[in-house]
Amino acid sequence: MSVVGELGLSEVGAVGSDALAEILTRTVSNEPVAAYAVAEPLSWDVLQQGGWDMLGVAEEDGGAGASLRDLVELARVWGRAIVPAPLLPTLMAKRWSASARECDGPVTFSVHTRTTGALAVAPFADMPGIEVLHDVSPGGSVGRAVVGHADDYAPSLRIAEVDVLSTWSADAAREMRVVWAAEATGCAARMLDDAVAYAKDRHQFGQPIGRFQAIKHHLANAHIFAEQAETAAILASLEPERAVAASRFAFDASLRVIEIAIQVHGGLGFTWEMGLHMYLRHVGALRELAAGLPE
Amino acid sequence: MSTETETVAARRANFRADAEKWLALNVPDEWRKNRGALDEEQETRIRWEWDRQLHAGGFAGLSLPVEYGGQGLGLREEVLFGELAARAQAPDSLGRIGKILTAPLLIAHGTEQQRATYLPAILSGEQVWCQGFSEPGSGSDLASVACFAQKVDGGYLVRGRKTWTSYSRQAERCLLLVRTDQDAPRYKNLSLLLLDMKAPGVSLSPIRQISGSAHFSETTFDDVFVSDEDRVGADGNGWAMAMAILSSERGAVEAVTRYVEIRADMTLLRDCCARAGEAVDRLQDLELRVELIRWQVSKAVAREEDEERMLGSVMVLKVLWSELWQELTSLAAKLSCSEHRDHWRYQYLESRAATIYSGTSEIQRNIVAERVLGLPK
Repeated sequence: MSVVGELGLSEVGAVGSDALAEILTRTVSNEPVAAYAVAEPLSWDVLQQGGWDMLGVAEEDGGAGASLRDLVELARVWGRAIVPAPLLPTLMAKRWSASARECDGPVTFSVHTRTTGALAVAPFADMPGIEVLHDVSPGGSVGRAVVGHADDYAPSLRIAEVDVLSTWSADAAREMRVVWAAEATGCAARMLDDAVAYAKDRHQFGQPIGRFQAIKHHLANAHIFAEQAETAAILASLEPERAVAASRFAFDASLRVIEIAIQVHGGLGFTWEMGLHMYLRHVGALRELAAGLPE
Repeated sequence: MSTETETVAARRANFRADAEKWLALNVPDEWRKNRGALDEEQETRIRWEWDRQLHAGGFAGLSLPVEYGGQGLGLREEVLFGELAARAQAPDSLGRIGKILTAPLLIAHGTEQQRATYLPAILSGEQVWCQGFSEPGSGSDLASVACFAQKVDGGYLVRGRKTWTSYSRQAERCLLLVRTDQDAPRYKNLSLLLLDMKAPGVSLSPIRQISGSAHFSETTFDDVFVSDEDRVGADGNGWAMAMAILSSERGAVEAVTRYVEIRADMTLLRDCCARAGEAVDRLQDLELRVELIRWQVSKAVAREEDEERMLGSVMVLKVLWSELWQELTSLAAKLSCSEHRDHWRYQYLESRAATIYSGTSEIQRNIVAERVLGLPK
């Protein structure tokens, strides 16, 4: 596989993430996130027909052979839009399991988080036709799960209780953790861009608020956190022994970026309609899912 | 020790004992035991009832003069009661805008008629007030408000929009900052009115916040009549009235009521984490800083006689409690047990707004730099 981009990014990662960005822009760029996060802006068929679910599958198994480093780039692009579709879980399930690869429809898996008590939860669990991978490893099998109470904290992730707790191979758990962390850093990058644009546009005291040093420092700090978060996600994909610590860092730093973005948006930042909270919820919920993975 | 000091000390000791006894008997169990699980309506109902209980018990308007229905005590008693209420896990007052903002303003700058009309209803908890200052285009730059009150015979017709109106659904009256002169220079073109929220022409549209709850509204005024009797201060003197409302004393009373809520969250977080045996160092640090808020308030009111030093101590409070609360809820969102998950998620989201409303942290730091440290504007 040829390395074309920075720090080991291959052509599959570079071209794939550009193409995905284009699809997402076409799909939701004119929609407010508060509206589409609770709707279905991108159908599974579009993703499946584009072969996106097979991107991370090895070439000898009929996939595009993306590396974990490539998937970091893809997840970052995905995180910019938080479209509520089960692409990343399906893509990862198919990467590890032959029986998942046989499914045309979406596939998910469950974890046990610290706040779900005795139960297991799975992202996108209540999507029609979704299969649950019982054992996230090469020999794992899929099946349907009984879906219980939906957790509506992060609407863009459609998390719900399921009656199956997936088991995880160490590698699968590590890779999923890294991809979720990378997704979080994409959320942060998007929120930073939005906050910078707002600071240039919003006027108070007769000038754009971005001219005030207090706002500049906020945004500079957010940029520093966003940069570190991205670096941490890349590092996590390349140094397996540091994946847990680096992913944790990426989640926390990404949340800081979104918190600052909300602060810079002032009153609008804490309205439901503006939708910045959808990103805050999304990253908070991802962090909780990732913390539920075996280390 | 002089006789006067002894009397004051004895009076304070009595006050403490009375307040502790009263709180033990009156704090509703429904609040104390289910705080993490109450919905918005239950919360509103309990807080409203709490205002009535406070009045019946003789604990409303502690630092307001007796002649206006207050208890004639000082800021110290106000603060002491806040501390005791926190320990007893008491609810927060629903009529806080009326008690903290309107009542002191009317006592300092209102007419006899305004005091007679409004103070009894505010103190008894019957009348809830809201505050109409911010507008969509005037947030941090408050002096640029555009909501216009046209002078007519006997009063004004108010037309325009206000935003971030808390308690607007329960409020009977609004403390409203409006522009009354389109030609006068900045700071000389505003007036302060007491507007009837049930009058024709007032409409509310709730603003849903990131937590999903709707504590605020956008309020539209479509030719709402306000009589001259309901203007506080002279026409064109609204900026001075607004500054009086946002005076330093408010900061101490506000902070002590916030301490009530943060103290309760801190106790809950300690319980959550004790079970998991986690984050011991961070909890100790937070615990100390929560108590530092209480001590900062006590220190500030002890300097009541020395305005300059008091200002220096008071003006840091908003930044301290709002940023501490955010830190606390961020940690709790991360470490929450399953039982209190929903409470912490809600508090985490709600706390994001605390460094934005009532003067953003950026504006607060500007005020510290300019008003306390005297740095050039």
